[in-house]
Amino acid sequence: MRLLPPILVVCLFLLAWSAVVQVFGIKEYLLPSPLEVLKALVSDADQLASATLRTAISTVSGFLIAAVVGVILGSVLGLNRWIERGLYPPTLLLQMVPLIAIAPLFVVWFGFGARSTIAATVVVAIFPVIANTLGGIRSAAPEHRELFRLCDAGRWATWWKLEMPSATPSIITGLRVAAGLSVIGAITAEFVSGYTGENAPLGAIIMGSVKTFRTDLMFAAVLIASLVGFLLFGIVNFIGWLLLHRWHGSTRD
Amino acid sequence: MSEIPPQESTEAPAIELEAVGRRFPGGMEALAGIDLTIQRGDFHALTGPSGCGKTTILRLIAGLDQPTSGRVTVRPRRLAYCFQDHRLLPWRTLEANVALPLELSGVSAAERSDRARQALERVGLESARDRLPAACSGGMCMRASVARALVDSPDLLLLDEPFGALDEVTREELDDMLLGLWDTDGMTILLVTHSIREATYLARRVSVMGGEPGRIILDQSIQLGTRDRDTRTGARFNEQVRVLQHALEHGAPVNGGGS
Repeated sequence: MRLLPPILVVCLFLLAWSAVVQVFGIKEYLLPSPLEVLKALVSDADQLASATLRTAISTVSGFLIAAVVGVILGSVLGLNRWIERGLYPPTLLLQMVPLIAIAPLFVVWFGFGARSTIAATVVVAIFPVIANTLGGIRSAAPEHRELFRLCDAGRWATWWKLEMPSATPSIITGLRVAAGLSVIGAITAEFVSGYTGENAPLGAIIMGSVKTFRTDLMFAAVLIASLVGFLLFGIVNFIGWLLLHRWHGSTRD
Repeated sequence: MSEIPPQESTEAPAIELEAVGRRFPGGMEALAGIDLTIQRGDFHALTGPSGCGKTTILRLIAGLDQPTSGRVTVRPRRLAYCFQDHRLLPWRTLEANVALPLELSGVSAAERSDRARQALERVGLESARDRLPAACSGGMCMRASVARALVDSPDLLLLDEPFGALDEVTREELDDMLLGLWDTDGMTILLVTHSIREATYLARRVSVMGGEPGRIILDQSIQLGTRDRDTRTGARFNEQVRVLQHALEHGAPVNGGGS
């Protein structure tokens, strides 16, 4: 029953969309109707399927690298206040660099194809992971830290047995944001390294179809890209639920 | 529970505080000129109004804080600290929480599970060992935190108002549990409590503190014999409580005398 409201909203939206296209007689290359997008999904299925695979692999690889490296970097920043003060502002600054501006650089460094896409994805997705890991580690209760101190716990044991569990709810939040950003990162990079033809990823198809006025195909590709992000988000959510539902309030239903 | 008579031991005392002072940054003087000796195997209680520095003394003894003057000597090697709040890790089951001190000192998984279960059994929680703290009552969590303190068989047990937040029935129940544990293990116990009645019931020696700055007003031995259900309503109990109460309220002992 929880699925009913969102499904209803989506159906109403699609109906309204079809109606607008019909009533105002909007040309297909400007705004295709949902039905035409569906037709494009079927007619270009082969191309879209291989593109989706490529983009999904880049997105997921970038996401996983961002997750692992982000948690490690966040933990390093959490080691002590000096490291945090020294490294956090530069990290923040790096986050402010617009991806679209440096995406061409990744192509120069890593060449056309998956490697530059993954690099760009990591760069966009890593920041929320770092910030939330650091915040989560900082949120470990001082009372619990005192308990560990009384037990003569080492730095490593404190990290693994106290700081990581305390930070898990916050890390999951960071990973949710990173999941959405990964798709943005991958598609943006694919715009730049965009090449059409057989090996085109979704981003390249979007760029290419705009140039050839295949707006229906563009919409189909955008829809799939969104679904990839949505799926990744769902997986992160599920893992978070597995880890947290027994003891943490945020996921209790 | 049998009464262990206070024995004159030739052993060095478990804890000695000599002219101990603690001034916090900002100038607040929490403790001044504290002299306190606690013999091995004694059950000693510190009582006094809130903010008089009881917890600060406990933290100094545990090494969680350092005195700004004077000297703190703690002879027992293995000390355990039971906090005001249970401080269980919410992601661990009671058993895993109790086993934590062993885990952090590198005891093997099989052995620590064994010893954690024994400790849980001693506080009457053997059937709840797989539960998470969120699924337990406040009393159960406090019991588990006592079990965690006992798991490494400490020579010195420091208790900071461990049952302060519990209802009276649970509290008296846990008080008796504590007496039983002390009876069988014979470790040195230092209990901080703001309840004079609890201090009198449990301890063999009570120090009453006054505030601003924290100092010891009266150091009194308690002679009550074996504690049982009638102890708390007996005339001698109430007499002892009155003496301590007087010191607490007037900031000085009756006729200036201790014992």
